[in-house]
Amino acid sequence: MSGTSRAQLCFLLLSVTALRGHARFLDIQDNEISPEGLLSLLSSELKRELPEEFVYRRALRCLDMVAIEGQFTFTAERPQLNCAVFFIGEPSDIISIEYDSVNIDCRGGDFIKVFDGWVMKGEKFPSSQDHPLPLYERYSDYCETGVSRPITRSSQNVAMLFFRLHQSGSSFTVTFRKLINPFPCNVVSQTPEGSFTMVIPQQHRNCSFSIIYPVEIQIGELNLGQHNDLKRSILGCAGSGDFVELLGGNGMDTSKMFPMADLCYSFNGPAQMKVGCDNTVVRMVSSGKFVNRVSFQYRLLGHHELQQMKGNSVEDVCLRA
Amino acid sequence: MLALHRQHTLSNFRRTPELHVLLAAVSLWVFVSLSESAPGHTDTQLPVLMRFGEEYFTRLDNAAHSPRAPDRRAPSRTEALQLQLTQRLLGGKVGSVGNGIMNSFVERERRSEDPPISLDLTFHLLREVLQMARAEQLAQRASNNRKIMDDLGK
Repeated sequence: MSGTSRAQLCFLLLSVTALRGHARFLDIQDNEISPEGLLSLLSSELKRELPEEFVYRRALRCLDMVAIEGQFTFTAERPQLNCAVFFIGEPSDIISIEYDSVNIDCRGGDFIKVFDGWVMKGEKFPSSQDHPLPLYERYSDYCETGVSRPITRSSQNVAMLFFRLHQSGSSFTVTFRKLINPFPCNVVSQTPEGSFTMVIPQQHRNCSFSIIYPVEIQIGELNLGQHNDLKRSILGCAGSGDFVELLGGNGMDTSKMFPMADLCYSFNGPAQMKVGCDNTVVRMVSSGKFVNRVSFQYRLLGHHELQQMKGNSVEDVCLRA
Repeated sequence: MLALHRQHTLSNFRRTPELHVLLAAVSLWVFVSLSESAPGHTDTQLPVLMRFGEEYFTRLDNAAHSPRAPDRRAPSRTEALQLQLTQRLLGGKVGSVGNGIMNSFVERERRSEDPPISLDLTFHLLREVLQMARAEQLAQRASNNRKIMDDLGK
């Protein structure tokens, strides 16, 4: 390869690397940029090969929520019998939890369990109707399988860790990573405001997007990929294999929430609705025959809006205890 | 990792002046016996300490945890105290968490669809910890961006 074409190739690779945002990892020695060095930067495995000093680390608390990739350590200063850590990623992430080092007494009653989803007050997200695994398979116990299978992956952007440590000095370290999920199905939103497009590509499954706030939802586009049947729309969505429903409730389990609206015909143009519940869910049911897509935005309801809604409605389906 | 803040109570744990006096005057040791341990889990009686001064009350629902055989579980006998957990995160960068009550139940009822391990948390507290996690994430991104800009400037 001549010097000119080599320089051109290096410049091209450098430009591509810069556009991908990985130029900060270039190590230029003696003003020579080797094509091999640049090519290695284009590898998708770059993230896993970051030097140790770039890994985020902190201590875990007994009740904690983690949204950053990194290494997290819990050390029991006293018996900690009921602890839980929530993990959450972006809607298009799935979560990987890897045990790095564990110093617990399984026979003494200590445990560390990973749950595939979130569970709160006995209600789980995703619900059993929306999750591919049966309930007992969604728990993975370190004391039973953690040594042989140190990495657990979630099916959606949320996961939980339950643990109990009896002895002071017991500890464990986990590495939390986020992996890309090209067709996110069940999602818990990190924020009370945002937007999302849910696509179910010819799969027979149900997907829920959960917003743990009272919000106003604005559905911009719904495409159910089926012929619009006016008769069906008049009679409601009962019997339709593909539809979107808005749910509201005060728990995590979508199967126990109240339906606020059903949509079973495609449309363009905003349709909005205020849901004054602790948990607002956009759920899509898909038969698998079509490619279904729904795009929506949501924003937090203000206190005065909530008060107004309570004043206007005869029946409050989201009664607070 | 625990900081002192004002207390919240559950709706079924009414706050009375007498209760405050009682709690302030007494240190209580509660021994909870677990009913029916699963094979391999030899959990003995667990002391649960309620201490004055740390605003620390623990609610523990006894029972064995056996997610694979929920039908074998006997009805759990529960001795309950309350867990109040307040925290401060990130050395003051985020500020103190709002208050709330956390009750955790180790076992649930016999129905197989009930999660064997669950956390009894209010949405309010869940949102608080979520907000803290988001703030931590944004702070980390800002720190990374600063490092990148510093490296580019060299």
